[in-house]
Formats: sequence, structure tokens, C-alpha cells
Amino acid sequence: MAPPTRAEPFHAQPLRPKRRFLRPSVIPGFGLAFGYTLTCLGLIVLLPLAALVTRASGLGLAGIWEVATDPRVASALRVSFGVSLVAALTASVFGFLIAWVLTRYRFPGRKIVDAVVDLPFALPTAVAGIALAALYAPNGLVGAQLARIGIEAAYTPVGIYIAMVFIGLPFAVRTVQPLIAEIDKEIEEASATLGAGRVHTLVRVVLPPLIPAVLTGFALAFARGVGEYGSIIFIAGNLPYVSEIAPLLIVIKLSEYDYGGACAIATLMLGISFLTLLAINLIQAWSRRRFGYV
Amino acid sequence: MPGATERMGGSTAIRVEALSKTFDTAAVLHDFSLDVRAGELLALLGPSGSGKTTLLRIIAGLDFPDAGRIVFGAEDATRLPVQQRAVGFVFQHYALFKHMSVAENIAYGLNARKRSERPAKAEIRRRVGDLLDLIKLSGFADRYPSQLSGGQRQRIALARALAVEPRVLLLDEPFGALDAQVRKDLRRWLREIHDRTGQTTIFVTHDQDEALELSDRVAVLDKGRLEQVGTPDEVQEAPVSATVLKFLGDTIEVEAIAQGGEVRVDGRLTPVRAPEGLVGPVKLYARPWQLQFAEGDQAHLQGVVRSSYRTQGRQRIEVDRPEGRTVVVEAADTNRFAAGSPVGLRIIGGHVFPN
Amino acid sequence: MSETFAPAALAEARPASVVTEGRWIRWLLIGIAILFLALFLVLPLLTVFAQAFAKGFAAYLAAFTEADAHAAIRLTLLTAAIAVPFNLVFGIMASWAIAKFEFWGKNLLVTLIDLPFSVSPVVSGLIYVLVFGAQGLLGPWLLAHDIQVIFAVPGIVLATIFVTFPFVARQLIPLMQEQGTAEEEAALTLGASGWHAFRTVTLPNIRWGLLYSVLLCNARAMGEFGAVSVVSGHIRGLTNTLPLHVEILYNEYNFVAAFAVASLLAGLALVTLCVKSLLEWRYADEIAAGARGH
Repeated sequence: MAPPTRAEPFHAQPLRPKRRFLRPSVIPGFGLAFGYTLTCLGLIVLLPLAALVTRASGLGLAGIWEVATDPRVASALRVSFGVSLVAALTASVFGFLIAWVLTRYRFPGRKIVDAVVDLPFALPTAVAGIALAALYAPNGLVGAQLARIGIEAAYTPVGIYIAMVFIGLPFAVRTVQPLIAEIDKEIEEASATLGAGRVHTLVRVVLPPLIPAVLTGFALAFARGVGEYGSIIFIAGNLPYVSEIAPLLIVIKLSEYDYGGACAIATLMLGISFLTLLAINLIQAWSRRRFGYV
Repeated sequence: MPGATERMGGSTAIRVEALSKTFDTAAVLHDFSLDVRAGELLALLGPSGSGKTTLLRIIAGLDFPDAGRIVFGAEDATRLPVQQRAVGFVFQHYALFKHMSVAENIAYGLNARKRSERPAKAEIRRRVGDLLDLIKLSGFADRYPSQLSGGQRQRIALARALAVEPRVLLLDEPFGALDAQVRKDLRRWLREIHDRTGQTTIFVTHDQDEALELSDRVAVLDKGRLEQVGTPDEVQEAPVSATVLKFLGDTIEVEAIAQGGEVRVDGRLTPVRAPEGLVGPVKLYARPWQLQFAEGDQAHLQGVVRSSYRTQGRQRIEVDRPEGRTVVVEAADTNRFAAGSPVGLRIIGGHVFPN
Repeated sequence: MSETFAPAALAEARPASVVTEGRWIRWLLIGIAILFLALFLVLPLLTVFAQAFAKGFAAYLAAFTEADAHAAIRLTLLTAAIAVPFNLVFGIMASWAIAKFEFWGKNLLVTLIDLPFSVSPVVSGLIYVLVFGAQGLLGPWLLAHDIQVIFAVPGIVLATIFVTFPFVARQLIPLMQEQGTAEEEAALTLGASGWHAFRTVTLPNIRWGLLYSVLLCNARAMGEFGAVSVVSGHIRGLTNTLPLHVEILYNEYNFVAAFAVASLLAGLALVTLCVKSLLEWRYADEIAAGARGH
């Protein structure tokens, strides 16, 4: 064999292959699809959100804090977060019950009840808002009954609570439902053969693996309740310091052309959404490690 | 250890009496009766649909019979709820509690007892430790099921069942979900555990090798009925029906005539004896090793070689018979058979049953 | 010594199953679940129709003879007619890129696409005001070119697009991921072009998931309130969608008309729920991978 000619310099191949962005594939259309996706994402989602972030950072942490500690704003934040917490708890508890009943029991009309759970998803918020307002007003069907036992629903945080439970319920049900459906009955049988009574089995064996899903549903309901607008403003009455929610304050500040104030509140709410998402991801990661599944 | 004093004493630990069960319109168990002896390792063997798992679950209290009863020792347990039956059940897919550690899983039955009946924490810990030693998984106490292999999980399921000192251990196809090699190892291990503890054990399997290798007695089921119960030797040497025979291994079926205790195929005498009273056309069943290659008059059957392959040191040869049936014959490894060559087969053993 | 118990006696003694609660408890729980749903979900829905027809059929119909009502209906339909196809195309592009290819940063991309889902509706409107409003990023430029986005139809359309942005994508991505690339690759080996493979292989596989997500996207697009409220300016006859029109009527104490218009939206919600349920019952597998990703 003739020795290689020295006409060209010899380049050694790198030992590690270059890091690729895209794994080569015979399927066409990546460039077009990916480019279009990024463009739309950038223009529709990222650009406007960036506008918010720049505006907010213009205020600085000090500016945001100043807005946050304004008595009216602080009160609205308290109402939004506080009531949403309690409402999400309620939704989680009853949501679990409803998911259990829908999955484990057979009864006439079960499928219809299952479909009804999604009503708050499908119903426009304004429609839900005026319906709840009419229902719980002092002369409304339920409002009148509540008034008799001394509970004021409309124009108080109680009304806000009711509206938040309404919108949070589907989240609480749908996050837990698939997991309940997947429970291996053999686990319950095993527990029974080992001598455990039904309640012991439910509490010690069936419930614990469902907790991550319950927590996720709670977090989703909470986040949704904090940001909700249409379903709440009609029944809430929007009395400052009493039943005013944070999203409404944003609208008010915008109408006063106080863009800075509106941004500050929006940033706070976004921050909470982000933290909630983070919490959900952490819960799911922990669940994957502990149980081997989500 | 529990049960050690009752080893093979011959006393009945569990009596199944005239059990019947119907699912929808299909009868899964038919007037089924069986005695389980204290301290024995009994296999329930049968094809899918034979009712063996249903029987096991009824004994455990996980399913309920339509008629009949279950007696534990002297106590009628038919109406006893599962929690009070003190049976140790091991599921095919382990059914371990994924959110609990190995130690918590094993201790579960003890912790689930009422306070008055619960052993002290230290005692529970000791028992868990002993059981982990027994199943050779000491040191795994704080691991979680998702971190373990299938074989390890199954051993833990067994330890969990043993922890409550059950009166009987019930295993539902315990090795069905495992690899072939792991299955073999666990079979051996189960036998050792049984010998050590003397625990009355019933296990369900559709694998006849497993049943024959492991058990003190085998109960062969088919279509919800008990075909035969006996030691592995008994069911192999003296099967009471063609069903039992066919289920316990490959068989070659041949038309034959029985007369005066003799059995002839195609007019030629075979060494197989017919039971007294069986006269006329019968079916002769032989195992692959009960056929030999032979020439001319020595051969009972004729055929043409279809193919052959070697497995585990022996040759298995497929032979096409004139009537269109194919039989499998086992021969020593040294023989070579070309496809298409005509061969003669001689029957050197087998059983006969009426047509 | 064998005694056979009569089947009837045995049936009395035994529980229905080891892995369920006793009969009374089951029915109690079912009752509580149904009562809860009836109170919180069904009652408000019924209230809409009850209030709409409170003054009779003539008064109900009168609500729809208003020119403003017609304008609102037209605007709502127009908005949906733009937003839904836009997000449909985006959803298909995004899921093609994400489901059929392996590339770095995929998870990040999916998270970003999901962002609008976790942003409060009011904030969704706010960010568009920040970009297109008079004091916004592009404010001066738009003014100079005499283009009106905020307080005009374009703003409403944009805000609606943002809010419904992830609907189709988050349904299709898991679905297409589950379906894999084997079929498309097979089509390519048989000589089909990328577009042909997409049309004849991919599309038929995702058609039910597509229909399902378009349904939900449309329901949300037509019913969106909070985001649209912020960008619309509430100019009667010009920038009011149906939900906004409902709000105006309600705030004017024109309750029958408000609920009459709301009943239209509620009817849409019911139709959406029905079709959605039908699709779920019959085509669970073809939309299943996505159904978990609420």
C-alpha cells in the first residue's frame, strides 16, 4: 500500500462528536415547524410578557414593595390569596370525594355527573359571575336562605369563596381521578388478607399514594382562584378593603393610567403563579422518586 | 416457627367441601372438594380457566362461593371475613405497598392489629429482622419496592405474608411475572423456606414442572373439577384420566385395541398393560421418551421425519404420521435424522384410557 | 359430613366485595357528592335560564333585537373565527416539531407554550396594553400610523389568541408523542413526501384529538372575559363581545336581557360539554394521551 501523500494536512477527528441541537431525522419539516412555533411564541407570548417584566423591573423591588404595602393593595392581595387558599382546600376535599365516587361506585347517571364536573371549564366566567351573584344575593334563591341563618354571601368574602370553589372544583377532581382509577385492587386485597379493617386500609394504603395528586389539584385550584376575575366581580360587590380582589385592582389602576401600579400587582401575581408551578413540579419529582410514578 | 410441630402429621388443616361458584353463566367451580394436610406444600395445577385461582381466592375470603363450605381445622370459616381468616396471600404481581419501605411492608399486618393484640414495637422490629434474614434480604429494611427487582419484591411479599403467622400460606402463580432463571431460583428457595418453617402452603400454577418439582402433593384441576390429587410420582405414574396425563406433559396419542389386559397397535403387541375390564378401542398415550426408533416388525407406527432440533442435550424429532398427525419423539443426541426420511417408531411405555 | 348451605343464606351474610365500603356508606358518599355538585355547579347554570325567562318569552327575545346585541354576537364570532384557526395552525406546527423530533430545550419550549394557561386573564390583557397601549412599547409608533389596537377589535383578537394559545398544542403534543414516528417513517420509505405523509398519515391519527381541542379552544375564545375586558374599552356596538355585553346589561340592572344573552353563552357551554363528553366516551384512546394534561 502506498503511503499517504503529503499534499494536504491531515486533520485528526475530534474524540467527542459535536453536540447537536437536533437529532438527525428523516422526517421533514422541522425547520418550518420549529421556526413558526418560535415566531408565534415570541410574538404572542414572550414579547408581551417581557414588556411586563421590563416595566416591573423599572419599578425595582422597592417600587413593587411600595405598591404591595399600600393598604388597599395589601387588603386586595390578602383577600385574593386568603380566600383562594380556603376555597382550594374545600375544592380539594370535595373534589377528592367526587373523584372517588365517580371512579369507584356505579350509580345511575354517573356519566352525566362526570360530565357536569367540567361545567366551570366550559362556562364563560361572566355568565358564571352573574349567575352566582343572582343566586346568592340577599333576595336570591340561596342567598335568602343563608340570610335567614345570618350568613351574608353576596358582597362579602363569602361570595368570593363560593365563586372560587366553583372554578377550582374541576381541577381538584380531574387531577386525582385518573390515579384513583389506576389503584390496583390487589393492594387493598393484600391489606385485607393481612388483617386490616376497611378504614385502616383506606387511610394507610389507598390514600398515601394519592397525596401528590391531591396536592397538585390543590395548587392548581389555588392558582386559578387567585387569578380569576369574571366569576368573582359580580358576586363580590368589590368593596375596597372588604371584598376587592387583586385582579380588579389591576383593572382599576389601568383605568387610572397607573401602569406602574398595575404592573407591580401583576408581577406579584405572576410571581405566585410561578412559585405554584414550581411547587407542583417539585411535588411530582418527589413523587416520582418515592413511588416510582407520578 | 409456626407449624413445625404439625409437619406432615396427616391431620387436615383445611377442608374444602362441595364448593361451587358461577361467574355470569359459566360454572367456574363444580362441587369441588379437597383436603389440605397440615404442613404440606400443595400445588393446584391446571390450565387457565380451570378454576384454581378462584379456589385459592375463596379459601382466602377474597371471593365467595355460591355453595359449599370451607373448614379451617374444626372451625367453619365460610362466612368468616377475610381479615379474620389469618391467611397469608401472595399475589402474582406482589401487591407491595409502594409508598412504604420494605420493613413497613413486612410489619404491616402486625401494625394493623388492634392495640390490645399488637406486639411491642421492639418485638415487631425483631420479627421483621428475622424474616428479612429468612428471605436473605437483611439490610434491605429501609429500601422501597421501586428500588428492588421482581424476585426481591416477591420474596418481600412472602415475608409480609409470613409475618402474621398465618394458618396457611396461599400463593397465586407467585413466579408468573418473573424471568425464567429467577423463577428457577425462587422455586428452589420456596421449597427451602417451606422445609424450614413447615408452613401449610397452597400454591397455584399452570406450569407442571413447577408443580411436580416443588410440591408434596399435586391437585390437578380442569374446568372447575378436581381431576386427581396425589404425590408428583402418583399423578405421573398412575394418572386417573387422559386429561391429567395430557396436562402433565407432551403426549403422543395413538389408536389401539385392548383385550385381556393386552394392548395392540396396528395388530402389534405393545408392552403397555390395559387395566382389567377395559376392552375394545382405546387411546394409548405415550411420552416422547416412550417411543423408540425401530425397523420393520418391531415398529408400531410409521412416519416421515419433518424436522429435528436439539435442546438440553437431547434431540427432539418431529415425525409426520400418515393420518396427518405430527408426533414429537425424543432421542439421544447422537442420532441424526434427515428431513423426509421414513422412520419406524416403537412404543415402549404409556397409558391407555377409554375413547 | 358435608353440609351445603343454601345460596340465599350465604348471599345475605357476605359483603359485596372486599375492596369497597359498605352499602350505606357508598350511598351516603354518592349523595353528598351529588348534592355538592348540584349546589355549586348545577344551580348557577339553572339560574341563568330561570332569570332569562323570568319575565316571559317575549322579554327574552327582546334582548336579541338590540343592535348592540347583534354587534356583540358578530364580534364574538369574528374573534373566534380568527383566534381558533390561528391557534389550530400553531398547535399543529408546535406539536409536529415537538412530538416528531428530538432536540435540546424541548421541555423548556413546552413550558413556555403552557405559560398563558397559568397567567391570570386580567394580566393577559394587561400585557397587551403594555405593548400596544397609548403609553405602551409600540404606542407612539401606532399613533403615528393611525393604527388602533387597544380599545379596538385587533386588541380583542390578540388578547383572545393569547388566552387560548396553548389549547390545541397541549392536547396534540402528548397525543402525537404517544403515536410516535413509526407510521410517518413508513410512509416516507414508501415514497411519500413530508406533506403527503402529514396529510394522509398524521392527520387521520390526530383527527379526534384535533376536534376535541378545537372545541375547547372555541368555547374559551367565545367566553373569555377578563383579558378582553381589559383591552376592549367597552365601546358599545364596537368593542363589546358577548361576555362584555352581558356585563354591561347587568351593570345597568337590565337583568332579564343580561341573563338572556348569558343564556346564549350557557347554551354554547352545554353544547360544548355534550360534544366533549360524546367524544370522550367514544374516542377515549384517540384523545386519551392528551386528556391527562389538563
